[in-house]
Amino acid sequence: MKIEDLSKKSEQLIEITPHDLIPLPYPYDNPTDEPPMKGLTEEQKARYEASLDGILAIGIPKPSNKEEEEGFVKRFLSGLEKLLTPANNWTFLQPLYHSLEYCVKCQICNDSCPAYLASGKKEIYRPTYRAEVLRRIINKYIKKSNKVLLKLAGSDIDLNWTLVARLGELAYRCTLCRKCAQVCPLGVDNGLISREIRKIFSQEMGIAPKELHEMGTVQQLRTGSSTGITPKALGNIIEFMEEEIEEKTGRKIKIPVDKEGAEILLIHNAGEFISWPENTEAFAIIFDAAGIDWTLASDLIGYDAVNYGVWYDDVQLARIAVKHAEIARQLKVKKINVGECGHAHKAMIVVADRVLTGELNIPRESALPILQELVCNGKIKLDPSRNNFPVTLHDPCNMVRLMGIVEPQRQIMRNICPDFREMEPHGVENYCCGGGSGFAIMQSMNFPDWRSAVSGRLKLKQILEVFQSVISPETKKYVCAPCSNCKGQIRDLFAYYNVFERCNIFYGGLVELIVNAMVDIKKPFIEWEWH
Amino acid sequence: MNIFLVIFTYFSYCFIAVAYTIKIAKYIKLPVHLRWELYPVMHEEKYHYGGSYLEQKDWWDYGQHKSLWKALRYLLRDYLYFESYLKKDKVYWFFLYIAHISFLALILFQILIISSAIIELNGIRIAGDSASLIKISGIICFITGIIGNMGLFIIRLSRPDLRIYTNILIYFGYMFYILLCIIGLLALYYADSHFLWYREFWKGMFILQPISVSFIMAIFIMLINLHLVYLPFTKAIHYITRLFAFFLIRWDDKPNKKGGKLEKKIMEKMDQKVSWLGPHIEAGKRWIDLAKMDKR
Repeated sequence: MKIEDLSKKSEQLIEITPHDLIPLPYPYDNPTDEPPMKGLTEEQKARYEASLDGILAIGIPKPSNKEEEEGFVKRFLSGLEKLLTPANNWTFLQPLYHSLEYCVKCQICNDSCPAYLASGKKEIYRPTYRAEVLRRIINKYIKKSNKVLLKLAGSDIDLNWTLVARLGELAYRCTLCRKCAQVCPLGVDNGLISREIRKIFSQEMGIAPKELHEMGTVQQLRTGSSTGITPKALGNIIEFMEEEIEEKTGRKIKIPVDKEGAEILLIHNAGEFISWPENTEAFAIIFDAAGIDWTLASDLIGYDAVNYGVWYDDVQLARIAVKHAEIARQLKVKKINVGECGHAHKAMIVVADRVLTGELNIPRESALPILQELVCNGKIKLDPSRNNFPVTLHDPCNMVRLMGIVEPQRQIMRNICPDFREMEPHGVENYCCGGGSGFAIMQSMNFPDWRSAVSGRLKLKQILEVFQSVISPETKKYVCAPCSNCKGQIRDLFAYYNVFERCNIFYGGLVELIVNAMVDIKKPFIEWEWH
Repeated sequence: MNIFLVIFTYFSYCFIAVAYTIKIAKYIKLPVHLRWELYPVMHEEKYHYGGSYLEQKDWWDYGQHKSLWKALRYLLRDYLYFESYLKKDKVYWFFLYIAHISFLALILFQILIISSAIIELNGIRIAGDSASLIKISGIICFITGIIGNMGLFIIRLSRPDLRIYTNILIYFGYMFYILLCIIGLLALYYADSHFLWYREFWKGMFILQPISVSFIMAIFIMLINLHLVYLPFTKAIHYITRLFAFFLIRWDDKPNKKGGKLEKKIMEKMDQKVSWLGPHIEAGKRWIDLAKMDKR
């Protein structure tokens, strides 16, 4: 398969069969047991461009006429041109320029990509593939190099509707985990190139996966949360949490909301309130037990730390970051703490650091160092024997490889989990859960099957390997994922392969393990109920 | 011919200097960008496991303990034995490594020739050992150049993952360098066994009194000059841009402080108007206005 094949019309460029996929360990070592990936319906195929790999993440509708087709290509080119200008793309121009100009195509990065490896090394998933396509388009249509030079430099490619639509889809086959960038000796970042392609589609063409844009950032800015939780609904949720805390622990805790001048404004991924309320409850129990002066915010957006803009759109990224900071400023809190959400960590603490200026530059940090202090300095009484089951730790890429927060969570685990096991590789060299860059929340058509069977496959392999000596369902095991999106992906991955039923591997956050080990809470906090 | 060689030599050195300066200036002048660091960040105290200052509670109350030495040591070590390649692909590493030894030996060879010419012009006679050093550096350059580039040529041609990403210019680059090395060896063997005439050529260059060199030596000089002119059109500047990529992008973990220089730069950037046409963006507005506008 060649680079230029992406622009050539064909029914489907590649097909993924169970035999292509990288083998999994016992009890998933028989490829015939592999669940079949859902195919698209004839109607979906007729309606959307699905000729890349038969999977749909965005679902770009096919054009109805020639003008529409040409307009689409023209719009892409105008976006690409803007991507290369300082005024429109000061945010990432220097890193993008470096990655476009200085890749020597040594392919050293390939074996770091979980999707490429898991798929059985499908060419289109190679980290350098989409970058090379973009480079060729730039050389031919933006720099307008002469024809002979284009041939010599291998930069010939035909820009047409098929190419642009496939490239848009292909940008959503990379989880932006940036493991490929980490191993590049020249500092080239093919993950960033995927993100920048997504940006052209969103910022110029108005095309992005619904879950990220319409139901994501747009909904968050309009209703307060990408989950749809409104400030009023939040009040009910908090009441429910207080009741549940009392039921589970016998403690009456008043969760502080909008407390002016508090030391900490804690912002969770609002998905936790709906899918894993035990996580937000555990935070409340720990902070209450430690006597921390903290608050939640009920103002629009102030209770949802997510910022999907970090995956596809700089304008939406900036808008949400500014809102978060504005709410903290109004509440006059001393700092913002981000709960267990990897991309929110990265977006709010690191990426938006160069968006928030003046009064909006409120100190922001991860909740993990505080938890580490509470656990390791004995500020809350813990009994590790309560967590006497095999536990492994998943490293969310955003917290670890992209922020360098590696040890706090490990020190906690070493203190409270007597059978703590590290996956290989781990820490900054971890593998993505497969749900990075928005994949975990993208549920359209057959994309969830792809992210379980392909992008999440190496993570499943790691989990099965680390628990291989106790893989029988008689032993209950726990994967700790201190990130909401990673948890969502692990939940879907486990459901796809029936991991909970077949191996008794459960998943959850970090704070749940801490509360589970608290000596003055009688009942176990972790309930081992699949949800 | 002699005059032409002298002019072409001056031209090629000036050309590469100007071309590289323009490239470097273009790179450095690119605007400040959002943070996009990648760990391990080698100047960090906790670089050995990839940790950062963000692991510290209330990190803003503590100064950043950056160690430039650690960062440079990492880069130097990688420059010396290409650790990343060694870990991932030993065959590719072997040929790439010796091809780079050749390139570095070529730079050393040129430096030794030029500096010895300058020294002799100042009336100091160069000892025989120094001449041998020039010869040794030349021989290392030519032999490793032939083996390394031939190896890379064959690997790129034979491995599908590399072949489809390799264009004619890359193959041409390998062949061109191999030709330069073969001519260098021939010049050494047939015309100038210690490159003494080459040194004389440089002395003549400096005092603008060109001397005659043998045909094979003239071809060698031409090829070296052509190589200098050719380099800016390749990615060879990655020796330098790699430093920028690490210090300005991958390891750029500098926090934005209230009232600081960085904040000023960011505010300037936020003041620029955008022309994106996405339905959620109002083209013509400034970044700062867009960020503060909750467009629905």
